[in-house]
Amino acid sequence: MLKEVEDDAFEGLPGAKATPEELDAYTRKVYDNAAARWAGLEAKYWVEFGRGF
Amino acid sequence: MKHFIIFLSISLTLSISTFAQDCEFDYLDCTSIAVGRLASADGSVMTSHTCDGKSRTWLTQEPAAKYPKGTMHPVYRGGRHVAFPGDTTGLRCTGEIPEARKTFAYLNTAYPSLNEKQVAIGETTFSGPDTLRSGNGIFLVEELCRLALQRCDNARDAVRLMGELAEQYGYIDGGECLTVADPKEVWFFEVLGAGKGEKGAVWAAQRVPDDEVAVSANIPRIGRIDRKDKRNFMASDNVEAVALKYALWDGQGDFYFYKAYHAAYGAGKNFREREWWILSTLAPSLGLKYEDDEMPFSVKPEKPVSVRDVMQLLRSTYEGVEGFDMTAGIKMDGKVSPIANPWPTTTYQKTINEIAPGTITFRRTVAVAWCAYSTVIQLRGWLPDAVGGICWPAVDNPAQSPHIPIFAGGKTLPAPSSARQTNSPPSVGRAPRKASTKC
Repeated sequence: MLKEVEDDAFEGLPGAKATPEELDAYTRKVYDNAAARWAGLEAKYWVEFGRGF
Repeated sequence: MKHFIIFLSISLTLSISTFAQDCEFDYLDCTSIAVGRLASADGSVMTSHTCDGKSRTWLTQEPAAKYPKGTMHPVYRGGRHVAFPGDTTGLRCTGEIPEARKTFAYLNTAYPSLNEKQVAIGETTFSGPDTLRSGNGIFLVEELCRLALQRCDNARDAVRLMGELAEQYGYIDGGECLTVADPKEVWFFEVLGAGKGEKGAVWAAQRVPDDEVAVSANIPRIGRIDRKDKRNFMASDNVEAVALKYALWDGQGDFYFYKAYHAAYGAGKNFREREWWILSTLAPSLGLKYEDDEMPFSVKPEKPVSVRDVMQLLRSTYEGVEGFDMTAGIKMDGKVSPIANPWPTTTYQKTINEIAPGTITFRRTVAVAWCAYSTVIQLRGWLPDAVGGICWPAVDNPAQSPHIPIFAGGKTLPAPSSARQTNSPPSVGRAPRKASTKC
């Protein structure tokens, strides 16, 4: 999971002309992606072990 | 709007780890890897930090500011432990210094880490001799970081400013190493108190060669200080005098900073597992051995080092390394047991060793379960500062948490997506400590 999140994060980093808004949006996108993956991992954990993290 | 909140734990705390370690090794807090411009894969200068201990995990983007003449800047202690922005529980003003007329925007991690000018700082504690720690002064090391990032646009000035402030206003923290970087160079800045009751500081700084990598892991690393070589060294005037006064050096032979001011646990060495592991991984042909008496201050890596390489090194647990892998001896049916993990608590170690003596020998892994957060920061001089500087923080154990990019020119951070937070505010039944934030 860590590798996948970080693969996504390094893919398409903003270029030299990015605005502050675009930089923030990129951070948010990676963060939301990580949160979604985490939620999915926890859901699987619930199914398997009957409890969350 | 002053605070742009918050990037709290998605909480990749993987509390999954059934046997998560406690924060029980207070003297083994933090690791920092510093990479010179010509040692990196893309020309970035890098610094990094695993904040291994009880520190806050929330962070904010603090904006640039202007102040009228005569404004004073309050200096605090306790800011690393407040539960959320604006919380003053346990926060205490230790003094004031004149405010700068203009300050830079910076990323406000527990130890402030990156500013809008691509100046970045990592940190490790080395404690040093108790006899040098003083209560006479105002500065803990995180406040030096904050001021350096607010006021400096390059690493060299940041080192000089922190040294001057510590000397002038008094340093009240234990021995600390800050790894201070900008897009051109990275420095080790090592600082201690000047002695019980003394108002001042002892400090030295050494530049990491551009084509090399250095590691700090709770022990001072600076050796001989060549004051004539101003390109690569800086130091307070009292470095040798304080060592003589407190019988930390006999005045004979060359003066080595780490020998005089080493932490006791190092037993005369200038390294432990982590420095050896990281330096020997990057430069295997040097044949560095854990049994050696000293490690070099820095090594030239045999392959260019990428940001992801640094992330991976900060995740090291020595698995598969003979004599260092704490999971290797915990077996079931001839194989490593599913309950084996590289972060055993003391209770777990004792239990296993009671059953089968000698099964686990504690090794301080780079990634630990008592890590509050970690950062890898890259500084890219070929890009505008706003884009070139990226802090990649992760919360909790770096081996179990992803890094998320935050840019030097960013203005806001994502709101937390989860109500769960690590290092939560005091729970019900625990009264907040009395705050004294007025100066």
